[in-house]
Amino acid sequence: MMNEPILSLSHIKKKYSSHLVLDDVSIDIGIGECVGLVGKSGCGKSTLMSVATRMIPCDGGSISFRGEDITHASRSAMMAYYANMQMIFQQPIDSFDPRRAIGDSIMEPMICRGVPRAESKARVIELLMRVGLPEDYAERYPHEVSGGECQRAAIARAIAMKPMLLFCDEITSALDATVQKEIIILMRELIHENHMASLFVTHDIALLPGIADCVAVMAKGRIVERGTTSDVIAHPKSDAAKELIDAADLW
Amino acid sequence: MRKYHALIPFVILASLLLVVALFAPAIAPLDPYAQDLSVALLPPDDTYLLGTDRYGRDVLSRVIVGSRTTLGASLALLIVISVGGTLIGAVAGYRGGKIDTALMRLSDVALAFPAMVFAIAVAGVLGGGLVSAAVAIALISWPKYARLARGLVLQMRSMPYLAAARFAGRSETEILIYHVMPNIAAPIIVTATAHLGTLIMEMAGLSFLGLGAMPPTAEWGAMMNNGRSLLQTSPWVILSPGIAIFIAVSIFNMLGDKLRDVFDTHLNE
Repeated sequence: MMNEPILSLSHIKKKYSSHLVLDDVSIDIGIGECVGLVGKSGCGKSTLMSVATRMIPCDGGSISFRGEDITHASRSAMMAYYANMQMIFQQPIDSFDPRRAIGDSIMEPMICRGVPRAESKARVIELLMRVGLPEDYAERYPHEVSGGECQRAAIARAIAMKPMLLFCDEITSALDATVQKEIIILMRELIHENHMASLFVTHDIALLPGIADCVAVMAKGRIVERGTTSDVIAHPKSDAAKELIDAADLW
Repeated sequence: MRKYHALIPFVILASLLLVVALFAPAIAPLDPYAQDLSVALLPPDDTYLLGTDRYGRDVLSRVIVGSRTTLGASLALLIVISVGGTLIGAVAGYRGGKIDTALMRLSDVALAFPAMVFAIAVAGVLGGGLVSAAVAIALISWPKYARLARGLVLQMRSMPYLAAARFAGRSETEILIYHVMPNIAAPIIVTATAHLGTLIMEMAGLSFLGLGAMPPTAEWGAMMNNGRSLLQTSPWVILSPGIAIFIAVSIFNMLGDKLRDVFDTHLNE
């Protein structure tokens, strides 16, 4: 049952030139709820996430976060909301400034929000250990670690401020199968441990059982099916969901 | 590693040049401004290693002290142009939209003028002097850095780490300062190092034409101008500052090339 939404996307539209990328998309994410958003490449998942985080503006519809309308919030106004919403990116290494040590990047959200440096440093070590990395990784640079290790560090950065909402944009697609599984297990633990709501975007529906409470299936810029994860996987109704499940089985 | 080794001699030579310029008054063997017509136009000998000019001034001392004027002015100009041009280009590339269009059209206008002719015109309008020459060169040189910086910023604008910095709570200005500028610094520094040679020639060129340093200032271009009618009879007067310009420009051009080899990961060893 849906609890009070922390993020509500209502009738979102987005165009690139004359091409409608998002067509009347609505999604609610409740407090502590993990919503999986699946669809084939190019169906509009990442665009929806960019709109939801206000990285790009939408051309119609409304976005509210904790009941406040942020549809037209300026970038400076969004800075206050970003304390409670964080994002983990598809390409882990590219999500870190190549000229900064990983520890400095993990510390950045804390420093920007006034946490004293000494306290931030101690918290970086704590976070690294929580995501399964040795503390000396704080001194390493992004190009000195593997993709999986870098994604763990990105997760550490995302949870540093204990956000209420986490956006995960294809966070395992750049990783090999074994590492994908480890990352999913870690994310599942952290989401439950920190009672975070999350929007988990992926093209691989097989990753969602055990992490997502419910699933929305996207195709051609629209949500074509939604339901609990087990229901959608066991009894897919839309062609898009069936295709994704077939592809997951094959893989 | 081999690339770094190739860089070392040029770093040493460039540093030597800068040290000479910095401590020029202490290094110069004689007073570069002391006139003595009884020793005018003496060829190089034990007392005057590079001879004397038409006023009996020691050419070596003037070349040494002139390095401070020429290199100092060129270096100061380089810093202003590279920092200013880079900031303009970075803001244009990062903000995009109307700001980008306006700044880039402005740079198109600056680039549309033939560089040296425009510099001569501006220096002519503003009157002679090093400052006028520097303003003239600055007006035509900043687009080089603005365009380079804009191109680099456009390449990195969609990088996830800039979005991550936004989520971390950085403002757009902070992102520009803490994440964008440090990541475009290397190619800008390489370009600036090679550009220093060009600036030395342009500053000396304007002084040679009488639009830069004014007499009796010891400046390489102005010294060549003073000695141009003596090329047949007393060639040391014009050749000494000429060779100094050649050496300085060569060192900074080669240093720029070597720096590019070090920073450019696409070049094979």
